[in-house]
Amino acid sequence: MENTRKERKFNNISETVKKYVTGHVSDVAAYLGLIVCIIVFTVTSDGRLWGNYNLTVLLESVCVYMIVSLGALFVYSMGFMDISVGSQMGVYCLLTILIVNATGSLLLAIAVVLVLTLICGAFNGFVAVWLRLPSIVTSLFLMFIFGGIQLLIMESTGQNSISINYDLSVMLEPWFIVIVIVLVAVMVFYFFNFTKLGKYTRSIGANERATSQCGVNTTKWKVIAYMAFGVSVTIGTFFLLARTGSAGKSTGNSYSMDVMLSLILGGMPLSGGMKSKVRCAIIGSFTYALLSNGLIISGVDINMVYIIKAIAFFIVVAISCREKGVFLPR
Amino acid sequence: MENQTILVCKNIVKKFGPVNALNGVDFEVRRGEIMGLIGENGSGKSTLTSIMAGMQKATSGSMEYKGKPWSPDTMANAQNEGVCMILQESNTVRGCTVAENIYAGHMDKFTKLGIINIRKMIKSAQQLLDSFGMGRICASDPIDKYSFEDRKMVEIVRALFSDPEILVVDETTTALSFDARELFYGIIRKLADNNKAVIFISHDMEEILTRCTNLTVLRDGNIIGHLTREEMDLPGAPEKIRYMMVGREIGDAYYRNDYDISHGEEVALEFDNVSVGDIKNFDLTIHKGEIIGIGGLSGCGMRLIGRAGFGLEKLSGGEVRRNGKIINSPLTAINNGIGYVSKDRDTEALILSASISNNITLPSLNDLSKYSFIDPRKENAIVKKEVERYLIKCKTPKQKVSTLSGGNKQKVSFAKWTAKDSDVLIMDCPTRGVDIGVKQSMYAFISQMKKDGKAILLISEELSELIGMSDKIIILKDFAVSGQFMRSPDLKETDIIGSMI
Amino acid sequence: MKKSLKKIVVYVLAVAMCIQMGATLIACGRGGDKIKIGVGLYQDSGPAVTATKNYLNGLAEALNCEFEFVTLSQTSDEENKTTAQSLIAGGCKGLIFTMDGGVTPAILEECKKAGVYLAGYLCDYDVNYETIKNNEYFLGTVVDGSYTGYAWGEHVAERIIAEGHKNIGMIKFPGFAFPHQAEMDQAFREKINEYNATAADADKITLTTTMELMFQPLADNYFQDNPNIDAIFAMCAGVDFVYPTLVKNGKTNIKLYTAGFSTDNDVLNNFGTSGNQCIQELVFSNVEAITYPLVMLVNKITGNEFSDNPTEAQRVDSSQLIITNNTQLDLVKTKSLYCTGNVKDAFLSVDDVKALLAVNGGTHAKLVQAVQSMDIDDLAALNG
Repeated sequence: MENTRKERKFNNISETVKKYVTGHVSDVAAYLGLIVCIIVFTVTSDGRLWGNYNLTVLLESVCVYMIVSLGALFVYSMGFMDISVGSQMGVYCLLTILIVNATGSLLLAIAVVLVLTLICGAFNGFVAVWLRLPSIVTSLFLMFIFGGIQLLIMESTGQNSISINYDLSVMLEPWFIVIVIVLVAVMVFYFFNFTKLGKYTRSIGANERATSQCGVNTTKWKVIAYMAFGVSVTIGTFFLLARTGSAGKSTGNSYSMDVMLSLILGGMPLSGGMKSKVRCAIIGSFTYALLSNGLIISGVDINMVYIIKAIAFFIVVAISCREKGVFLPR
Repeated sequence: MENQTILVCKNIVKKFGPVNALNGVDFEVRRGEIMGLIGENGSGKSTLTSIMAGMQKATSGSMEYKGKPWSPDTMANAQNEGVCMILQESNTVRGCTVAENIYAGHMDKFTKLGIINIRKMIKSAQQLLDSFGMGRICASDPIDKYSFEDRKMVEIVRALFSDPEILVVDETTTALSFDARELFYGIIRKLADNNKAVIFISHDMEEILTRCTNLTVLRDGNIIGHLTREEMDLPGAPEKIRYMMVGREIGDAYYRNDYDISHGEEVALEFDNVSVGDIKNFDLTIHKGEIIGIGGLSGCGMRLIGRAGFGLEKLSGGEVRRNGKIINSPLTAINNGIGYVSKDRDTEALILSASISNNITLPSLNDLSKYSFIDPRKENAIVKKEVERYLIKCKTPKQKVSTLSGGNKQKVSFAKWTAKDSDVLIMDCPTRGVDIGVKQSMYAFISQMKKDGKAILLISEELSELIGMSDKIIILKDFAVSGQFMRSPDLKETDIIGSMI
Repeated sequence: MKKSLKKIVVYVLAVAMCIQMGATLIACGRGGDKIKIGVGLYQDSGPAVTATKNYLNGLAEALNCEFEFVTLSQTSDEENKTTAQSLIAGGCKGLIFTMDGGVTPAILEECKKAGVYLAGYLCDYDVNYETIKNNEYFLGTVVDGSYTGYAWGEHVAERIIAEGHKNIGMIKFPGFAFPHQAEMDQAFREKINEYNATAADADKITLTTTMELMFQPLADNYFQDNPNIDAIFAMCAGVDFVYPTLVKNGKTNIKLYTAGFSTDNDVLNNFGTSGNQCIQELVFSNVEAITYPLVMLVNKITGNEFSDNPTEAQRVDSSQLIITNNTQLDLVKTKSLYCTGNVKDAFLSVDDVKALLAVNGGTHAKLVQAVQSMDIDDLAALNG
């Protein structure tokens, strides 16, 4: 008697778990990806993963990914993308260095970068609508322009890399990083779930026509979404700069891809829509940073790093981004 | 040979997650039959037939086709064996020619050494079209040139050229014009005469009663009963069938039962000399508490009027006004209290992947937002009210709209505008693809809206609906007004049809 | 049926991959009390990487070291900092990096926190040398050839004069990336001008203005703009950026003098007097130069110091293998560590390296001497 009841109870639990899992495949895959990474690397690194030093290292490397991909959420949830962020961040780093070194004013640099990111956001959003181009095209255009500007600046300085004469080390203090990440995450969470911005961007991603028929000025909200992204790019830029203290001709360039990969690893569908969640950015950037860090501290062979990254990526994406054919009778 | 059984389904069960779409259905198809299949949305008609045609698999149960076990993996697979299905949605390949569409998947017939003999294919396709009396469709034209209706006919030809043993027709006729329907009825009659079998799904009771040799009624995934031709001819058969479908008496209160055409004095929406698309100089005034019906054949331009009224079309002349304000975008329309229920429910009216709650509140977010904050409690309250008002069948409002049946989806697209408290509602075919039970409640809601002083523009292809609901009916023909009729108990469909054709 | 089979295959594959992954990870994660040194290369594969790995792994046991190899990003300073941090977190006591960048001071900052030392390999640390040369945690670097470009510029000029080429196309990388190619250019031009001053008019050599390649292959229209050239002096990596364009345009009659090397047969078979005879000079640095940073690191980490230890971090020139004819090429192909990847072919054997350690009586002077005695003649002498 006792046994059968237990069994039934177990069956009930497993039934609920099963239901939850089938209903939330992508979320589960994203969490699982992170958890598996943590467990595997804890073992393979002989616990060094949890060393004090490594935790600060992780925090430092996670912060830029997370801040930028949190902002990117607004753009990606519309099913749009922005591959110009990388070169934008590069140019902003250079500009900040030039401005700070010339005037000594960090505030001025922040203001300039913020204005530029907002302009670029507006450009990305507006031109895509105006010329009816896919967002990838306008951002490609910006990517090339900023890439060019970055090279021009570097050539004009005649150096391989320029350094900032300003102490940004406070930005790398763990408490500071944590505060900023939490602040940004809370802000994004608020705007994404409790304001029109997030609700509209998700709706646009899910069905733009239906959204505009609900009286949403989609052009306006696309621009706003890109500008919101711009704000997070500004914050991310300064953390990036604080980390290196310098910038060169290709600083930041990898970020366009890194952000996209983080979001995908977090279970975000590239088509945007209702499955876009704030946790995609948070989990994804942790997983992404952990993959690079974990493989190195475990001392994995150089040739295996790419393969393992690819496998991990494939597994998470194959599970989380696979849309189950929803076929229902009318 | 006559009445030989060709396909048998035994105890078919189909589950979608927790929902049982079919609870152990037994079903038989015999040669020479045109088997009508009728039931409310979500009763399992499409599910059952799509399992036969290889579109999806049953959760459990077995099928036998020509005496052998039957379990097709894909629709193409089933088609090769002689079971062919025509879907409700458009299923042609865009960007290809008509001929390529007809022979899609059968190109090898015209292929020699890897090269397709296009001329031969087009010629053969044209012959096929001609033989079905569709000579006006040119096989070498790109498919996109043709209307939805013609594309549907091309699909029918595609289905027929493979000489199917069983043809499944899923609500195809709603898309067809009068002529095309007649053509189509001839085709299925001929199939039945040639000892093939046809399964015919429709919401149109009259169509079913006149065209089918027998009828099966489904409800909630169960077969409720079968009717023979003789039973279908008995007086009172439609009422009996409706009763079987819905499970309760529909009664007389189907459409509006009053003939009160009075309405408020205040003008709610005004079309002033509007030219849009091929429509020139269209005038219309809708008052508070008035239901204006617009009808005509599909393609007569009536949809354009609805879209123009909601600011979705760019006007080439004139203006649409409400309270003196010009309506030129959905945004101005909504801000001025106009709502629009689109005919393209799944692509325009609803976000299928979003929850019921998200869909309902989307137009109202502007009002809910206070210092940028949208209180989830307020949202939930609104949604709860609407779900209760329309009795939307769902487990929770967080459920995705795509999991709902057609009627419930339509309820959600109504709820969007009642939640927004719109004073003017433009409805484009609001009961298209909706079953009788939901239809009845929709009509009740529309009547209630009139009583509440809302202005309603009802665009419909169904004359009986227009006659039953409107205070005034405007009929369009070739983008111009061809007749106006006031509400009256004596108004008959035959009075109106004259001005349509 | 088919679907379930597919599912099973996918799951089995996934599980197998996970197990394999875990196994390799665990296998990699084991280490003892050895001195762990992280080696950051800017490539992830190729003969140089193989040779470097083989050489270091060959030395590992004798020096009680273990090495972890990582790939540095050529585009992201920030990523390189993360890599350095992760290596430190992974227990490395020393770092050998082939790349400098604006981020080096930040990396040294991390070294200071963790008590880890950094040394350079085939990299001149030009960006930061002035600011970091007195940093306690920077132990100096060995340069890819000579720090200045004068010597090689002069050498090529001499060869070109001797070979009798008259119209020379000059190509280099942009100055902000490779500042020392300007010196190469200058030395070359001075030498040619010197020759032109005394030569008869008919024998004078004309040089094009130096063109800068933005890390893109040479454009096809180069030959229309410079129709008369009979040789090209490519200070940039000509094997990758210039030679393919020559081949594509059927201009292999133009002789190519370039820095860089390739074990690609297409290059080796068209060198000197063989094949299309296009490529006339190849240069590359020895893998064994890594001995310098390695010995410096091991000394420091084990708490030993050279009697003649420099007061500030040095950038030490290393000798390169300059290949000017087919005999030399054959020798390099069969006998150099770079090409064979065989530790036995190394200039410095395990015992040689051991003897250079301070604890075994080595000196800084000897160490420098060692990395500067590895040119083509030495290779010939070594192999009798």
